[in-house]
Amino acid sequence: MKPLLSVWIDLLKEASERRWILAIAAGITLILLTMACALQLDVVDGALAATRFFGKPIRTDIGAVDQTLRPLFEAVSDLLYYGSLTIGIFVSADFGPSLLEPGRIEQLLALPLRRWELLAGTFLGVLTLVLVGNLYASLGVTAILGVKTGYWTVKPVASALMATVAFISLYGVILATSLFVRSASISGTAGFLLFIAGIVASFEKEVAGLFKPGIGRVFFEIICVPLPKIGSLGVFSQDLGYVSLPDWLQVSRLLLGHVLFGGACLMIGLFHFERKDF
Amino acid sequence: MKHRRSIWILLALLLFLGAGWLMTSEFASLSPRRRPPKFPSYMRQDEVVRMVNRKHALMLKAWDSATKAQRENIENQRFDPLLVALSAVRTPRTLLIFEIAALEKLPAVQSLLNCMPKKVKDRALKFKDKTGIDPFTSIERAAVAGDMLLLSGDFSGANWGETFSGFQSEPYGKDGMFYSHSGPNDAGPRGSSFLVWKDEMIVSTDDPEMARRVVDLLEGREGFEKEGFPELDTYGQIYGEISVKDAMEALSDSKDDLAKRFGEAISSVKIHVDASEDVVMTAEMSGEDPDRVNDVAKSMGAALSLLRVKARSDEDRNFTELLDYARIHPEGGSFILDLALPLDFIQRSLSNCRTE
Amino acid sequence: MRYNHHYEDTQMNAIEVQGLRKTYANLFGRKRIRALDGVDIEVPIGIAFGLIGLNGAGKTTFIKTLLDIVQPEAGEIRVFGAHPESPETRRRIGYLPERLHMPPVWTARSFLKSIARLKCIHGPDDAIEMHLDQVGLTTAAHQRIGTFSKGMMRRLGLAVALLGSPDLLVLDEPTDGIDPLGQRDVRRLLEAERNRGATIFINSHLLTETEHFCDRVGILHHGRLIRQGTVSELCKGSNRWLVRFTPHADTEMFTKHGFIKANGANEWWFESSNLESLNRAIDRARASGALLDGLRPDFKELEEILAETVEKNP
Repeated sequence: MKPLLSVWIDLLKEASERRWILAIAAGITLILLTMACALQLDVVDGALAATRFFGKPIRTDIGAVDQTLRPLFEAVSDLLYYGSLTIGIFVSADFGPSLLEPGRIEQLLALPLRRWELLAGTFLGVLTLVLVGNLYASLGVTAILGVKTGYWTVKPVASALMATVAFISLYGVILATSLFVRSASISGTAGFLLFIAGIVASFEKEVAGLFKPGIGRVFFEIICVPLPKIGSLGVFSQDLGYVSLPDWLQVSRLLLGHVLFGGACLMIGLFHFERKDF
Repeated sequence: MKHRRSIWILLALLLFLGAGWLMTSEFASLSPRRRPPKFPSYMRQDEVVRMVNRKHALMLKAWDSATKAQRENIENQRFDPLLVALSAVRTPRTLLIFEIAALEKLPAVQSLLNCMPKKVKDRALKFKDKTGIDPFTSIERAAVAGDMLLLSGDFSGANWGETFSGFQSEPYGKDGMFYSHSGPNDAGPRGSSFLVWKDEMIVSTDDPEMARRVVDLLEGREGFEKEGFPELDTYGQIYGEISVKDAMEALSDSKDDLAKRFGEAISSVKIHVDASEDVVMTAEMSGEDPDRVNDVAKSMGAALSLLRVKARSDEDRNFTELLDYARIHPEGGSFILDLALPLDFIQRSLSNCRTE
Repeated sequence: MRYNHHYEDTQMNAIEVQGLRKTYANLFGRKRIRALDGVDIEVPIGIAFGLIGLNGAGKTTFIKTLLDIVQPEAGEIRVFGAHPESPETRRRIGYLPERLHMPPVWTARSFLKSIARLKCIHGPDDAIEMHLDQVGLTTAAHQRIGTFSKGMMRRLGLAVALLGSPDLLVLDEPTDGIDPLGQRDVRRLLEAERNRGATIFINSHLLTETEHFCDRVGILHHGRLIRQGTVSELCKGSNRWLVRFTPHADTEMFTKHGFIKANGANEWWFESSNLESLNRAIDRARASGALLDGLRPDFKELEEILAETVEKNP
C-alpha cells in the first residue's frame, strides 16, 4: 500500500506544480472574489430586501432569506455540480496519457510497485485533486453567502461532494480510455460523452417516450441501465434540504452505483494495463 | 498471470452488474419534485377566448345623435355585460369577481365541495327543483361590489315565479324585471330587491337606484367611460380590487404601524386567484410615491419572514407551508405579493372532514 | 595491451534467460514482428555484460523483459533467481531506459526524492546528494527538469538508476548525449559500482566503450543471441601474435625462426597456440640480435566482430 500512497501523493505534488492547474485555481478564486465584492444582499429582519450586483439593483423577491435565496442556491448547486464535472473532465484527461509517456512509464514500471498500485494511485490522486477544487469553490460560496445573508447552509458543499462522487464514474472511463489510446483528447471526449449519456439516462423514461415502441426503445432502455445517472444526482443536489428520508436512501444507492461504475471501468483498464507491453 | 488478469474482468463484470442494479430507474427515481406554484400574471389562451366570447354588442347612449361613422364604430364595439354592469358602482369599494363555472371543476374546490355538509347539498338540490336554477351549473360568474351582488349565467330554465314567490314584480327598461318586497322605488333591507335582466343576469342589492343604473347601462340609456373592471385583468378564477380601507383593516394587527403606512402609500390593490392546481394568489399593490411603496414592500416582506420564523419555531407546519411560497416582487412603483396554498396541503387539510 | 578480466564463479546468476521469445503484432494480428527468437543468456553476479547488435535486433525488448515491462510469449526469465514480476526482485534493479521522460515541473532533487519514496528507501537525502554529485548535477539539483539538456537528463536518469545501491544495473545507452568527459565519468562510476559487487548489464552502440568496460559481451541479431563470450574470446581473431622488432638487417633470420612478415614495418606474425612456443621463438630472435619492440595477440575490434557475425547470419 505504501507505493500506492507514494504515487497518490506524487501526483498531487506534480499537479500543484502544473501551471494550468494553478490557473484554474486562480480562476475560481477570482470568481469568488468577484462574487464577494460585487454581490450585495440587503437582509432586513431575516428577509432579503434587495440584491445588487456591481451596484446595479437586480430584481429579486422580498421574502424570507432561505426561501428567496432558494433559486440562487439552486443555481449555485447546478453551477457547482455540472461546472465541477465539466472542469474535472478537462483537468483530468491529461494525467493518464502523461503517465504512459514513453520513457516515463518504463521508468515507473521498473520500480518495485505493482501495476495496479500505479493505476490506483493515479486514480485516487486525480480524484483528490477534483475534491479539493470542489471543496474550495463550494466553501467559498458558502462563506460569501453566509456572511452576506446570515444564512449558513452546507448545501453548496454537499453539491460539491456529490459532484465528486459522480466524477468517479467519469474518471473511470477517462483513465481506462487513456490506457487503450494514449490521448488526452480522446479520453477527455470519452468522459464528456459519458457525461452527456449519464444526463440522458437520468431522464430515461421521458426520452424513451420519444422512441416508437419497438427494438429501438428496448435497446435504449437496456443501454441506460448501467449508465451512471448523472442528471439524477444533479437534481438531488438542487433539492438538498427539501427532500425526505426515503429520497436519501435512493440517493445513497445512486452514489454507490456511480462508485461501482467507476470501479468497473478501472478494472477493465487494469486488465488491459496488466498485459500491455511498453 | 493470465489467471490473475482474468480476475479484473470478472470484478469489472460484477461491478457493472451492481451499478446497473443500484441505478435502475425504479430504484433510483426520486420522489416527483414539487413544482413551484405558477402565479397568475397574464391571461392564458383559454381566458382570452373566454373574454372574447363574453362580449356582446351593446347599444351605447347617444346612438341617435351619433354620426354615421360614429355609429359604425359603435356597432363594432362589443362589451362584456358584467363588466359594464359593474361600472354602476361609483365609489371605491372592494370588487371581486368569481368564475363559478370554472371554479367548480377545480381539484381544490372539489375537495371543498366534498366537505360540504349534506344538508347544504340537499338544500341546493331542493332550490334547483323549485326554481330551475342549479347553483352549481346555472351560474357562470358572481361579482360582489360593495353591497351589490351580480350573478351572470344561463337562467333560461329558471322559474322566476317560484324563485321570487312573494315578491312584487315590475318590468324595467327593455329586458329587465324588478322583484322586490316593497316596490321598485323603495330601499329595503339588504337582499330585498332583485333585478333580472334577459335571463342572463341577476342583480341583488339594497339600493334599487343602483339596480336600475345597471339596466340603463346595459341597454344604452346611460353611457359609461370605462368598464367597472378592465377586461384584460379578468384572468384567474377569482379577481378584482380590494379597497385600501379593507386592506388596511386586514393589516390592522400589524405592530409596526404597517397598516398606516400602507394606507398612506398604496392607492390600488388588485388581486388574482388561480386554483387550477395549487391555490395561488397574487396581489398587485401600487401607489404614487415609489419610495414609499418600496418601503411598504420591504416591511411586508420582513413581516412575512418573521411570521414564517415564528411559525417554524412554533412548529406550526401548516402555516409554515403556507408561507413557504410567500414572496414580494418589487416592480418600480408597485409590488406584487404572492401567496400559495399547495394542492396537497388543501387535500390533506380537508381529508378528515366528513359531512353528516 | 589488453587486460583479460577473470570473473569469479558464482552459484547464482544475476540473470538467467532460457528460450525467450517475443513477437509484436498489431491490433488485428496481421503484421507480426519477431523481436526475440529463443534467447538464452546467463549473466553471473558481479560482472559487466554488454549486449550489442544492429538497430532492431531486439536489444531494448530483451532489456524490458528483464523488468517485466514487456511480457514474453515464451521462455523463462530469472533475475536473482526470481521472476522480475515480483516487486521485491525489481527493488534490486536499477534501470536507465533508452528514452527518458521525467516530469518537467519537478526539480532534480525533488524527483529523486519521489523515486526514493517509491523505492521505499529510508532517509534518502544523503544518498541523493551523493548520487547527484556522482553524476555531476549538484549545481543543477534545484533546477526544473524541463530546463535540462539531453545529457543532463541522462545523468539524472543514471542517478535514478543508482538510487538504493541496486544489485543489478540495467542500462540502455548510458552515455547517450553525454559529453566525452562526462562519458569518462560515467565509466568510472560504473567501474566503482562493479567493484562494489553490482552486476551491470549494458546495451550500447558505443562498441569501444563496451569493449573496454564489459567482461562479457553478447551479440544479438534478428532476435537471436548469435555469439557471446568474454571480450578476448570474441575478439581473438586466431592463434597468431603480432610481434614488432626494432629494424634488423637480417630479415631472413625472422623467417627461419617461424615469423611471417606482416604488413606493418618491422612487424611479424607468429602462429602459436601456446605461449611457450611464442616465447621460445622470441628468445631465438633476440639471441640473433633482434630487439623486441611490441607484442599483441591477433584481436579484432568488436565492430569487426559484429560485422562478421551479421554477414554470416543474414
